[in-house]
Amino acid sequence: VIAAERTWKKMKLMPTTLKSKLLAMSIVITGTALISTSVALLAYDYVAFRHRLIENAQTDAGIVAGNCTAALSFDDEKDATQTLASLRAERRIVGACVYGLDQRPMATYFRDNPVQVLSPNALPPGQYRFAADSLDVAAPIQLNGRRIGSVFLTFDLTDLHTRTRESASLFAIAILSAMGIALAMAWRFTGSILRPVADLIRTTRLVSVERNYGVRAARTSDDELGALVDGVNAMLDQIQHRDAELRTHRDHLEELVAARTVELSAARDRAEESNRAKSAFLANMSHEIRTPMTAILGYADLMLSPQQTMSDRINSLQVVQRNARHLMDLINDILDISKIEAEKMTVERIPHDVAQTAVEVASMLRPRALAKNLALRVEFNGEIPAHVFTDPVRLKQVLMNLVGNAVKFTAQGEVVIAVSAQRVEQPDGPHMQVRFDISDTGIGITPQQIGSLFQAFVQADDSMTRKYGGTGLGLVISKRLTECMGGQLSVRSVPGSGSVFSMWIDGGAPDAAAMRVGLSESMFSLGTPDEGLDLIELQGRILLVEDGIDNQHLLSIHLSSAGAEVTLAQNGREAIEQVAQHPFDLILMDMQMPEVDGYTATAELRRQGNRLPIIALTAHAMSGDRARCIAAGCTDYLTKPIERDLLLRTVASHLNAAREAHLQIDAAANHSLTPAPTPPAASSAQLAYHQPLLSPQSTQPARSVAAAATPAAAGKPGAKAAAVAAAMQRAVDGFLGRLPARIAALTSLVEADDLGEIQRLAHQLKGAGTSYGFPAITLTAARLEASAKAADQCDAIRSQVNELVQLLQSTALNQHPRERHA
Amino acid sequence: MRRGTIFIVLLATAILCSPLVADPPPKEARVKAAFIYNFTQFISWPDDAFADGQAPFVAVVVGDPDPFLGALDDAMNGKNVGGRPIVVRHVATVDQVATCQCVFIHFDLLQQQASGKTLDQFKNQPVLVIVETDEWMQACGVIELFLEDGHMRFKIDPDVVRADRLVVSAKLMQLARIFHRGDKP
Repeated sequence: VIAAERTWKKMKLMPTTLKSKLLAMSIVITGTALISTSVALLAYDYVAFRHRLIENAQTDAGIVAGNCTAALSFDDEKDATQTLASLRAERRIVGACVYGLDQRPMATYFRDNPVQVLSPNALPPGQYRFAADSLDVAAPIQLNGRRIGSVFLTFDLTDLHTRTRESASLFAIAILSAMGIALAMAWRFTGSILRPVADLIRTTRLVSVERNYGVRAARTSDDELGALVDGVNAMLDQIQHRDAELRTHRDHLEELVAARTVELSAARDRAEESNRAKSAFLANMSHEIRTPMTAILGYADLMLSPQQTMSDRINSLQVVQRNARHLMDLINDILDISKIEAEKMTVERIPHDVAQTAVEVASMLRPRALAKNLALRVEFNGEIPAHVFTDPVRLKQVLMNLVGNAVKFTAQGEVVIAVSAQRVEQPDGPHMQVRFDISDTGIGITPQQIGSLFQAFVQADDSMTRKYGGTGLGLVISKRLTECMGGQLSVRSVPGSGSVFSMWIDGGAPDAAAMRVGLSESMFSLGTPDEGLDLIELQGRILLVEDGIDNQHLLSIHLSSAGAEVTLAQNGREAIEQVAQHPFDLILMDMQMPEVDGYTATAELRRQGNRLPIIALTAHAMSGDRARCIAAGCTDYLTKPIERDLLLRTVASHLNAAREAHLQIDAAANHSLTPAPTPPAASSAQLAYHQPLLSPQSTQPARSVAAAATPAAAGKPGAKAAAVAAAMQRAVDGFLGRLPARIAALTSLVEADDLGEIQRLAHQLKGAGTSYGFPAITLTAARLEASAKAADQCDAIRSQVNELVQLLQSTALNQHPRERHA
Repeated sequence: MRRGTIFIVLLATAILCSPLVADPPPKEARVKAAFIYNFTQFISWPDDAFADGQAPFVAVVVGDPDPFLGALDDAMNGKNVGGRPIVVRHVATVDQVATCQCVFIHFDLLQQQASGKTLDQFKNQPVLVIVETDEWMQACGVIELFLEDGHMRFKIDPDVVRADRLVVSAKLMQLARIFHRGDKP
């Protein structure tokens, strides 16, 4: 077959289609098989026939020999000839001859022509010989075992040849017809095999040309072709599926792009909106900042005027102070909102009595409410837990803001803080939820205003800002802080009749045993009564541990003026020594000091078993710092710049708690002296408070002021306030007086490149600046401290030092003339 | 040359010596002897023709001198009939023939003993009596040998064969002329 293929290839007759290949194969196989079989059969037949021929011939020869025995024995030629003549009946025998032992032919017989004369020696008796078309056979004639002669027979082989020829022809015919039948059947079978293949080809062509992936090849058999059809169909399925997916995806892509475009444009709009809002905010802030600044500068100029009386100056100073406080609030708010926006706001979760906080907030804002003839109440509904886990500072900040707003925007009626708590089931277990509803009877908020109420930099109305002041950030900060505390802040309002701000916070896992029912505001004993600062009485010995001379002075004045006995320690080591030698009721501990810092000293004191309340003073307002102080053993902590009011209240509460003293506060007698929101609204009480500052006693040293500030003076707040103001003035003067030395020190330190000392000096100035009413010094010093600490580029440090020096110089210059005039 | 010389010498010797060797029997005698032997090969004898299984086949030639001049002895020498060795005896007269299976009676004898004596001694006996004349065939012959056109031929009387309980091969019968007693030549 391979040879045949090669030949066909050579002759370029190799079939090209599958069908012709299959047909050719069948013909070749059939032909080969039949021909080889035929040849084998022919050969066998020829050999067998020849063999039979020989056997017959030998038998015939034997018979003739037997029949000739007598004739030869008795030399009867006639009889022998007759015997041979009887061979005529056998068609194939063409010649015969009988020989005696004398080699003489005794009788011969020829069928047709006596062409052959057989020689007796040509063939041994019993043998045979084939000629071209004849067979010679010799048989011995024997008598009683003795050979007496021989018979020769010549057979015609035409038969054999004819038969062979006929057989061959027959086989050829059979082969040809078999091949014809095979061809026909192969034609039929290949048709049945190739039909599915043709179908497949049609299908694939349809798929590839028309891109019609929906067509399928029909399966007609269960053989490999069927499997192939199945495979192709499965492939088509996949292609169709993928095609559909692709198309869907493509279509979807457009939707997606459209959706994304919408989202993007929305985001862009939001960003632009936000940008606009920020620009507007910046403009607003500039305005907000410029307004108090203008007032400050204007009144400062006014104070510098020699025509000004002391009374005018006090008035001017009050305006300056109020505006500066407003600025401070503004800056604090901006810092808060920046922190929130930058997601740097961290919230603590420590056990805390929220009821206490609510009462405190009410107490702190009550003076303001009373000033407007408003009632401010705290209601407790249902069970209130003794402790929930939250951030007391932030909670207080939010409540202060909300209640402050309520008071601010209410002209008449009342403000109520309603506190309630409930258990809620959370995925991680039951949680306590504390809810504060701050309702007022104020101007209310329109639904349109509610929409933008909690957005940064937007106040209900620009006119509101002018009327009520504020940064417009309070509610945003409150809402974000509430969310930070795991809660929500919402508002509902009826314009003209009041608003309710509802705030709830997550209080962590509930403590069922510590639930309280029937709470009322009066049940809370406040260690820090909300009263006029001049009414805070401090009785006790306080150790002030502080290395910065400015803070030493300022704090000493504040504490002494409130009646406390103040002892100074320069650092932690000194503090430990002092504690060992003298009895104290409380320690105020600066945490950052040379030699032995506050953390170490506190830890050491605690280690020694000292149980005195220790209040930490830090410059860091971070919650982590607070935790560090508490961990070191501090009882409480205050952040620099130290606010006098907060300082005295905190110290008083700890002194009271320490002494277990019962300091009864008459809230009713407490006439608020907190600065009023707007200068024109300043009450007569405030005027009375500041008036005594004009008295000459105000120049008395701090010590004497402290001595004068006795409980007996409680009835005369004006005198006391005057004493405080005088002490304050002295402190400020002292600070200013020390400035030239510091300028010199800074200048020389920069020359010496002493970064550590620069850092320490800057740190002191940072703490002192705001405390003495110079926030600019604090800001500049803080930057310098940071740069020096980070060992920044010398150029930056140098320029910052220069900046600070210039600031200090201008401060000293600006202040000194006034002092001189005073 | 040398080979040629040897051949000539040998030929000469053969020619010179030939008179010294006994004369071979004449051809007719040899043919007769061959015929007689051949007859024994185409004829079967009944078992009671022999004394026992070992008994030889005895052929007797009647005539003195030997009508075959020794040719029969030569023809029979070393041969057998049905496995029995052949013994050839020579007697002068028919009377002298003892127990035997084959007897050859020379034609001359008839003339000598034309005394009218009967030859009944072979009648119905399994003895092949070969004669050379029709008279002897009438008397007691089974097969008669005769010459025709220079060829030796023979006659067989099937009746006698049957009577003598001999079995003659069909081939032999085919070659033979059939003779019936009472037929006059």
